[in-house]
Parts: sequence; C-alpha cells; structure tokens
Amino acid sequence: MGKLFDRFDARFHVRRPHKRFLQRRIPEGLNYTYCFGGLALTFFIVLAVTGLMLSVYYIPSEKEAYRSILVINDEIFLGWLVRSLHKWAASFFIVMIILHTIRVFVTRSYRPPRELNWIVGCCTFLVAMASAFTGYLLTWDQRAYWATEVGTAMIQTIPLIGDHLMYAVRGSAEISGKTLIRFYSIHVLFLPLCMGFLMWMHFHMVKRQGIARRL
Amino acid sequence: MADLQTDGQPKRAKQFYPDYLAEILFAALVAFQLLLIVAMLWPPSTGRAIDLTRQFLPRAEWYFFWLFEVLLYFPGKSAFIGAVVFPLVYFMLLMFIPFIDQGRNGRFKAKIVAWSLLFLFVFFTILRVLRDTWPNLFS
Repeated sequence: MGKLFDRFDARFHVRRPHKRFLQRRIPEGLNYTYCFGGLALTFFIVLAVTGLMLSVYYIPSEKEAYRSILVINDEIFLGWLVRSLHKWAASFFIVMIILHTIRVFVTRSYRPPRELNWIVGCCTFLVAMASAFTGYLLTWDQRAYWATEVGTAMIQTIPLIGDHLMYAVRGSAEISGKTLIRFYSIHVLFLPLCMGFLMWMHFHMVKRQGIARRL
Repeated sequence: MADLQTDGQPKRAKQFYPDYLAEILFAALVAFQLLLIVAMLWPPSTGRAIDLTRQFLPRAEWYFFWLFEVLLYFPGKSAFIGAVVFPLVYFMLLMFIPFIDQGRNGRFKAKIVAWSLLFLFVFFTILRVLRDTWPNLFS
C-alpha cells in the first residue's frame, strides 16, 4: 500500500503540502461551537449527495415534475428518505450557517486579516438562501407555485427595471414550465458552482490565516 | 474541547490532525445521526397538484418567514421597501460588520448592529409563525 501511494505521490505531490496543512497547530481553548462551520460543510455534502440521487429520477418539465416527485416519494426504494434528508439538510445547513456566524461574531474572529473571509461567509449564506428558494419550486405543487409567485413578484417592485428583471427570472410573464427549467438549472448547476467556489475561498483563507484565537 | 492529556505527561500543542479533525468528525457524525432521525420521523409530504382555479395561501420555508412577514407592512407602492430595500440594507449591514467594528466604540456599534439584525430575523419569524398558527390574533 505504501509503495503504491509513493508511486501516486511521485506524480501528484499531495503528501508534502497536506502534511503542512494537517500538522498545523490549533489554538488552545477551542470549544464545540467551533464545529458549526464544519457541520455546515457536513450538511452541504449531504445536500450534494442526496441532490445527485434525486436528480436521477426527477424530471424538470411542467408536465412531469409533480409526477416524478410522487414516483420518488412512493415508488422508488428509500426515495422518501433521500427526499426527506435533502429537505431537512437544507434547514440544518442554514441553521448551522447562522450559528457559525454568531460564533464568529461573538469571538470577534472577523477582525483583520479575516474581514474578507467574513464577507465570503455572508455571500455563502446568500447563495444558500437562493438555493433554498430555487429548490422550493422544483416540487411543482400548489405550495411551491404560490411561494415562488410571491418571491419572484418581489423583484417586480424595483422601479423602472422591475418588470424586465422579473421576466428574466421567470422566463415568462407568469410562473410556467420555463420558470421550472430555469430554476432547476440555477439550483443544480449555477448555485452549487458558486457555493463550491465560495467554500474553497472560505477554507483556503482559514487554512492560510489559521483559526482565530478566543477572546 | 476536552483535554485528553494524561496527568504528569508533558502537554503537547494540539494539531489539526489527529486532535481537531477527530473531534470535528465526531461532531459531524452525531449531527448526521440527528439529521437521519429527524428525516425518518418527519418526512416531507407531497403537496397538491397545481390548480390555478383554487385559492391558495402562499407559505414559504421557515427561513423566509421573516421576509414574508416584512412584506405585509409595505403594501402597494411601498412594497419596494419591504421587498428590496429592507433585505438589501439587512444584508449590507451584515456584510460590513468588520468595518463597523473599527475605531473608538467600534465593537459597541458592531454589537448593536449584529444583535439588532438577529433580533429582527427572530422577531419577524416568530410573528409569522403566530400569524399562521392563530390568524384571528392579528385580525
């Protein structure tokens, strides 16, 4: 096993930089509130894995979306559990981001040089909310339709460009199949990519700047 | 976190691996178990198929309750304030906390801003829950 890994490492050079990362010292006196960020990542991983599983059976079309949710829920083996995990992980993810933000504020860990990391964290929160909003429509039922109707109508209130912006978000004047495919694309492609990039920035800065000491 | 050093042994500085990583993985495992239990006990129901002829009261997920509640206070032409200005100012204030906490009384100002933002979120969320649970309370 060792020799096999040596051959791999001779090409990929993962050992040395990761050794430095893994063996870095951690400040004394950290408590379990410092795990909230890691727990948010855990729930994001659950979201990504269950989301990939759901995407195998989900059909993002006006006629098929609702039916495919029923199939996932009632016919696919453990489909109801995967769907439930995805839904609850979204709530837990947002709770953990809020708790992590409170912890960072209380310990004043946003002070220089970490102010950019605070901003990146805020953007992560925004992307998480946007993911939750776009994901809500995908069930394509009464509740999803009307919640999205209200949510997207908020954009219309912007003076001068509101109507155009709302049309751009919905893909049509009303919520329709075009809105569904648009939201599906944003939910499974654009936002996870944004989230991945933001998380990479967040963890990169934590790695480089270290964990802030307690007050 | 728990100090695992035995008495009489020289104290070793904690490293990310294995000390911190083991603790965070333990926390992650416990959190996942909790998620699994909640997901099994309360699976989401499948809603009704879309029927535009029927009236329906829009209901968002709990993390949007606060925004739905704020919208109620800005009807008609003032909706722009509740729908765009309020969330925008809210988010900008949150983002600029590191810059508010600067100079004399910086921490005090940041505390006022941060706890006010949290209070608004919790307050409007609770109001929304009350409104949905007991609609007569607000009529």
